[in-house]
Amino acid sequence: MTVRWLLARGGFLLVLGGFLFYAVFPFYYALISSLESGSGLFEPSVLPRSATIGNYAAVFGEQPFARSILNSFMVAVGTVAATLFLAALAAYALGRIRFRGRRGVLFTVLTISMFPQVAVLSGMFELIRALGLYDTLPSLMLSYLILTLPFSIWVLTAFMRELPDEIEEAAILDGASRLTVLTRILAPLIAPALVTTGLLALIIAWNEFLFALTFTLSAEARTVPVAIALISGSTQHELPWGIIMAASVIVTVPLLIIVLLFQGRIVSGLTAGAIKG
Amino acid sequence: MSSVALVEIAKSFGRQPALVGIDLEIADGEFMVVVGPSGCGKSTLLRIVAGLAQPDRGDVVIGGERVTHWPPARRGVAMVFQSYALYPHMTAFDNMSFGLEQARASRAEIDRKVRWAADILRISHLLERKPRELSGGERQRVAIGRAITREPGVFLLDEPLSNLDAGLRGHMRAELIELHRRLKVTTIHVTHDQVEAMTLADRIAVMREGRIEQVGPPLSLYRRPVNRFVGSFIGAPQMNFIAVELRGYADGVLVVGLPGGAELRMPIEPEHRFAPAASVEAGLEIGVRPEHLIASNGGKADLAGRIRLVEHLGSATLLHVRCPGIEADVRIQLPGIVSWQAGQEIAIEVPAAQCTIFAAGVAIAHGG
Ligand SMILES: Nc1ncnc2c1ncn2[C@@H]1O[C@H](COP(=O)(O)OP(=O)(O)O)[C@@H](O)[C@H]1O
Ligand SMILES: [Mg+2]
Repeated sequence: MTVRWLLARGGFLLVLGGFLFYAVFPFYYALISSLESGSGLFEPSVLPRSATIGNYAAVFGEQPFARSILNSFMVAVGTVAATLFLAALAAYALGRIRFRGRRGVLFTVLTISMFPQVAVLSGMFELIRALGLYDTLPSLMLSYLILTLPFSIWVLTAFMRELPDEIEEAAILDGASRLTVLTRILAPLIAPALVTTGLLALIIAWNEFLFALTFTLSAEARTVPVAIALISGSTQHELPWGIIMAASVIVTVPLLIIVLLFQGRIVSGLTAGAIKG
Repeated sequence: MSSVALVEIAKSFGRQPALVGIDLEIADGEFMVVVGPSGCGKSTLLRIVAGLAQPDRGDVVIGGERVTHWPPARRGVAMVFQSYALYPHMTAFDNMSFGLEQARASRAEIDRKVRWAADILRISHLLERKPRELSGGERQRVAIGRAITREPGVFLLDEPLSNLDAGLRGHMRAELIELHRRLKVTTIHVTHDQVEAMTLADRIAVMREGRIEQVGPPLSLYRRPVNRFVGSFIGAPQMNFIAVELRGYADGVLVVGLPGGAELRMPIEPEHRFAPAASVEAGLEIGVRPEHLIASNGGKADLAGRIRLVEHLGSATLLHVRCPGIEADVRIQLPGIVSWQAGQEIAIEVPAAQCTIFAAGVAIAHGG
């Protein structure tokens, strides 16, 4: 309890406070702005002066925003399901079965995640057109796998590797097939990692903009990020910030709730593996 | 229930040989203990029997069927792993029922068999617990329970007691014997602990560096080890080895001289009789167990020396004796508590009837 201790403590809190401000303030500001009306928007303040839900009503009134939310939801869920299924299968092979070229495959997977999205855009577009998926939700699920699979496979492979061989061998002696070993024994043991990668995939799929803009055209297939970008004012020179902010809040809140719900599992996912079953 | 035969099994990892031509037959219902130091290939052998590893050469025969290339589950074997390898996310009940479930047993049958095994192992009250809520001994029982619920023809145990503390280990040894008496399942039990081997086995196979050195009933290995390695590995405290010199060899009887000058006469085993005395002389040693040496009170004194250390074990006393001309201390185990003290001079009688003579590490004569 010396001066040094106080300084260290104070410094730590200061850094923490700064970081918190940096992370949370934009969202707070969006929340405030979404509750303002008219010209109030352009006079910055920390506390809202008026609180109207006019902007929120406008979000749903001026376009099929509910439809966009539903689309985003379906795309996100589909992407997460496909990601976890494929990544778990791949991780089982890459993490637990010895075969020639295993490292090569792992590094190829890593390389894929290094391409910028624009670089694959035109090729992906051709693929989606060829498959007849243009302007449909599956086109987005398919393209998002490029973004979600590489890190999911890497994380799950690392976790699979940590599991002791003998547990798997015990299951094989018990007469379990490979698929049963994966679903009944290994997957439950890496559940925290599945939750963590699933959440990251969910966030990516929910927020993705470029693919969604390119591969969909109609309002029926539009997802939330695109819908927000397309919100326009009554004249060309007016940006309806209030409505955009309201829309942003609407789509951020469910994500926040989900992440907070799974928070405990995420933390254990990031630190597990050190503990032996 | 099945017999097991291993025929010329060989296995290498890369260039490193792990098993070199293993031949072993285990009768139906027999309790075979494979014993040997760490790294000699015991686990590899067990995994080959289970089908978790493939031998490079040789065959595994179970119940008369050549099963070398069969998948593990079809072989009718169950294994208890050294780490137990319980499924951490399942209750004890689910751990034990998983195999039956895979075999598509009915709900009622699963329930009956799990409760039967739990009853035998006295873990009925633990069935709803997860492995992390169980003590080491309890996990051990669940692991054994998981193996017996499937009523395997062959039961494989990989150092099942090595993770338990000494008291529990003694207790579980007795339970394993009881379990085997009750179920009569062919068992291969692997351990590095020779006490475990002596107390459990119908027959013991002693392994070293991927080879089987000797197979036989515990007491026959104790009395008549075929070589120095088996002699030193089986029995505690360890056998004494004393270098001796050849004094004479006639009519199949060998006469050797101890460092103090005393002589021992022993008949050579028939299969070693052809060995000419000259080659026999290479590294001639006698092996004699500490419990067979006699502290001589004015009687015959084959060795003499000064007591360096006295170890009181309660039921016995172990004397470490420094004898001139002998490199290592000679150890004598005397029954009960004795009055000998460090620093005292002691004369030792070496009964020829309890000695083994080794030439270049191979036993050529047994007193007993
Ligand atoms: N999967 C493996 N890869 C490479 N070497 C192995 C493997 N398993 C065992 N070995 C080697 O084979 C030898 C025998 O091992 P093991 O059968 O586990 O011995 P034990 O069970 O008697 O201690 C050891 O030298 C060990 O290093
Ligand atoms: Mg081993």
